[in-house]
Amino acid sequence: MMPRPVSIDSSQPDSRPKPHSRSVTRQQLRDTVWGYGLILPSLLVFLIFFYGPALFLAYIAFFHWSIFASQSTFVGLKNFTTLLHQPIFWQSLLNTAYYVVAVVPATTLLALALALLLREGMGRFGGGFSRALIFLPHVTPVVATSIIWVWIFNPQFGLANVVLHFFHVPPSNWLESVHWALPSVMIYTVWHSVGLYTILFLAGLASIPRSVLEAAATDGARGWRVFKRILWPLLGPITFFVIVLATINTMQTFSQVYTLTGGPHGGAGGPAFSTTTDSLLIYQTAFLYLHFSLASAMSLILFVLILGLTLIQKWFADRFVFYR
Amino acid sequence: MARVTFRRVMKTFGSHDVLSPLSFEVADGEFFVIVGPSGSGKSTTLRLVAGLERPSQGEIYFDTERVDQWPAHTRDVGMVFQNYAIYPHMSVYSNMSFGLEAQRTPKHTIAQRVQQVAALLEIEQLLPKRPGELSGGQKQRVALGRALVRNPRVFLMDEPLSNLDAQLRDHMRTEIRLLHDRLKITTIYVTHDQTEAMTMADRIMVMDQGRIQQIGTPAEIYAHPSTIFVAKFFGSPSMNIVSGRIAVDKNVAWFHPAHSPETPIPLPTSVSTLLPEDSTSHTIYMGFRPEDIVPKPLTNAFAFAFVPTTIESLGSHCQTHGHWHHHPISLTHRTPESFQRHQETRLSVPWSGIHWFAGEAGSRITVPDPDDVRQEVLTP
Repeated sequence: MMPRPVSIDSSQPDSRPKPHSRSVTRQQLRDTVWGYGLILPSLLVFLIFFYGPALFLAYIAFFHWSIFASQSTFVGLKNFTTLLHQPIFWQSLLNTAYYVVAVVPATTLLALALALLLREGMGRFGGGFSRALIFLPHVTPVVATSIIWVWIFNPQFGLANVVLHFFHVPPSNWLESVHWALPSVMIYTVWHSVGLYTILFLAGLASIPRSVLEAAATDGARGWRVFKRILWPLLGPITFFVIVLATINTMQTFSQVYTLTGGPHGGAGGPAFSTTTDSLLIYQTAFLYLHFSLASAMSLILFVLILGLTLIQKWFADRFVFYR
Repeated sequence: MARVTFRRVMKTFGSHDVLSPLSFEVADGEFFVIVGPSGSGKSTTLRLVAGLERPSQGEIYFDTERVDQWPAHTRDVGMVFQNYAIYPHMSVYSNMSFGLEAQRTPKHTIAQRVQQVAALLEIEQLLPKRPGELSGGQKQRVALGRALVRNPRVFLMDEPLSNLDAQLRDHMRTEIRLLHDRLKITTIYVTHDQTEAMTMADRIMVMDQGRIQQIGTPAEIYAHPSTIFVAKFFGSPSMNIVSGRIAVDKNVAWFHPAHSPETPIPLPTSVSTLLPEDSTSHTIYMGFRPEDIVPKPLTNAFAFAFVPTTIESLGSHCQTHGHWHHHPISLTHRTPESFQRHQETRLSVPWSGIHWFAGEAGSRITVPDPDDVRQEVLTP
């Protein structure tokens, strides 16, 4: 190989005076300090109330730890193996899976349908009032509105059975029934969360250029064909986002399970543990039975499950979602 | 292919009249250009043809079928949008086949048609590509192809060239016109560009503020603009307009320009006899195109004093701007040395090059060609 001739020009940058470049670094340093200073308050809040406890949780999941004992002993995976031998743990996983599998598609499809009805140019449904009406449940506190739903699901005086009676369907025991307790919570959850996802879908629909839809119309397409070939593919990124968000939210559901079926005394989570979801079991294990290490191990499992599901969803999205 | 007829079509948005009643007809196979400034209602008119808007009143016909209440997907029109509106998630092939699929065309026919049109537009190698990989000019061709592939009854184009750079725009202008000459599909083309209108159209419809100003061939519109608006819209630099009044003194009609009433211009009888009786009581506008000005005094022509201020040489000709008693005047001429800046010269315009307008709308006063006038005078 021939050595490349070294020109005088190429050596010039090296001969620059050093103090100059050091002053640039000082400026950069000042910027960096200033930048970190700006995010410090929120960083502190996150560290103290979020990352700290999360790391501590991951730590005690591998220990026998008690708030009453001063010493904790390392037990390795024992907390996890204990869990695997607990039928209630498996039941909670099943309940959570049932809940997620039912609520996520139901909310997503209902939100999409509502968004299509409420979108711009859909006549009398398309106003801001209907949107506000749909979104309203989401801004109400779960604890407050679930009291109303406890009444709705009351087998003797509740609205739900009145509606069933109207359609000549035999009444249900709702929250007090082994089969219907979890579906009742699902119904509440759909009602409470569909507004948020509807708004997200509406934003997605609004981002589709009007001229693309007009082009489809002049191309002779309408209705289902426009939905299948134009709207659905172009809504892909939003749909993906909604599904991921709904999955994470439903896997962590606690409040409505607690208020609808747990009761103020930290009850069991529905008749025969039928509504005992992961989050509820974690809560009960930690704060009712004070097995913090077990609860931490469970939280870690839940975290890994959510992460895994999200990664799988992302894998799908990367292959099938079109990003503009 | 179809003839498109508008009968007293109105469009209002809220209390705002976007279109005053419009009546016009586009002949079968015609290349019809609607031109006007933004807000003139030209795009709304096109959208009414496509069915993307419904008229508030009036009727729209394709041949003898009344279509104004038909929804867009039933009208069988091909439309090219200003921003192309290509389906961003589909390949070029799917973009073109989408409309045929909606018509439930058999698969092999679709493939055939797409190939055929792609060949016509020389975009065959783009068929498997995604819109994201295309340049502006290529997207433009795909948008044309998508509209053409269904062989629509009417072909609609909404400022299709405005997003292209100048060179490509000139090229596509010629190409679209050639394409039309081959396919003979009735085409309605909306633009704000006078050059596109003049060069492409069989007939032009000029619109302003929701009203039709004039419909005619490019030559007619240039030679006989029906309003001051049309007169000024076409031609660059635009037509010089001088307002003034007519006064009769000693049996001679005089034009008193508003900017210098003390220097009236005597009108020859060949002109004055043709102005309407009430011309003396109204403001009259005199218009003459920059290229009709002769940079020297002529006999039996309208002459005035001119002070040039800027002389722009464009190589083939010059554009000179200046004023006549502080009234701005532009003219085009051949040789750059005709003028000295700030040095008064006399210019003239043959009477045949003068257009007369009157009234609030600035409507044209029809003054027949001097040749015709002479004949009328000679034949008793």
